[in-house]
Amino acid sequence: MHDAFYFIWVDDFILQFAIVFHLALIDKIDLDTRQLYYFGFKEQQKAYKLNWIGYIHEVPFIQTMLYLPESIFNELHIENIQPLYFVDYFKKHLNTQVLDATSHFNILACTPDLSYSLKIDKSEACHVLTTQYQIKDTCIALTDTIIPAKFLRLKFEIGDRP
Amino acid sequence: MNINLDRRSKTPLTQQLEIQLRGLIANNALVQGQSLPSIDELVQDLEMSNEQVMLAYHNLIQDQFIKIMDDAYVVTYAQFPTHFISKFNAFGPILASMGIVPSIKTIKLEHIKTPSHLTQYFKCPVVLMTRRLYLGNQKNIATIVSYFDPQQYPDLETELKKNLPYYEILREKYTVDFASIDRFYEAINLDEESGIELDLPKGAIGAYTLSASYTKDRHLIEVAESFTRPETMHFSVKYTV
Repeated sequence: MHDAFYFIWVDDFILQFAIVFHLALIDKIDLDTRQLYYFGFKEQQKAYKLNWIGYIHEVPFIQTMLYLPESIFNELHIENIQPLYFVDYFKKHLNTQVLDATSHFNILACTPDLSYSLKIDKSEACHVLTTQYQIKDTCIALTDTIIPAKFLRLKFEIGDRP
Repeated sequence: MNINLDRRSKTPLTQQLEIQLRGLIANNALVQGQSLPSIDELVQDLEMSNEQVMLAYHNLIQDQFIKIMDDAYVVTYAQFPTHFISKFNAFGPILASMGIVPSIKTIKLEHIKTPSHLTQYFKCPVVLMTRRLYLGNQKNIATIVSYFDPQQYPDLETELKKNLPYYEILREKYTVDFASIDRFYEAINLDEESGIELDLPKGAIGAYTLSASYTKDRHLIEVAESFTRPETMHFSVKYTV
């Protein structure tokens, strides 16, 4: 089969609306095991966590959490960072053209924190997209983007098969 | 800018203008940073009143689609960036990396009335084939339900009982060539029935996929639905920036 999958992140319906992001929280945290793995760290490390909540007509719709090691955090003007445009921002401000982003897409049950900020029930299914931003082989940032399942239907278009 | 107003429509002109502007912005025909025509220009071009155009613009400002910059109305709406449209690998590579060859077993084959949510695909009763996808340890990781039009494939049920891969049957007996697939994917809370199939409680998190397969001339071949255990669904998306 021809391997031409295309991945459309949100339903066309959602794209009819503007998403307004508000930076909700900046926090210094200990990275958990999963985050250490993505960053390529073996030992406990601290990172800055920036947390945005995106709204459509004042209804919480999406939550993006950005994890930055202190050295990278200090190089960036966080007030200028916008979710969804991390790649462009990092390219512009980290003086590099060699920047890759790879995402790992999965689904999860809502956690109590997410339940509170996204105003959904704790048992509701959510989509999560974890993205690693890399310069060469070094992970310089990590994002988790969460969208409650009720808002999202993904469409894949698979191209011609031989 | 292409705006067509229908003066015979019951939809007020203001609303028509607003809807069309939203559509142009959402479809990237008008992009972030681009200036819209002035109110006076639209009043003249569309033969609308000043108030009607202002109200449409006001509503777009309210929803943060546009804003006023240096006396111009400028598009501010940020479309999801194009690098969110990317290539991906799903499912198969994950299993392969685990060194596991999945096995598939057909558990049900019957003739049924088209389920209501699939009437957009089928106008007649369908042949339903339910399969289970197992990992090496016989744990059911997915239940796949396929629907076919029996008029299109006479004797399909008999053919499917031969236990050959069904796409080979379709290709060889009915000379059908799979050319493209539209696939929709959702995270869901499993209902009781799909939960039992996957050995998960009702309300547990699962993945639901609906795939419609077509021939080269977009003739529908098959619609398949699958319910999958969440831990085995994992896409890796490479950004094409």
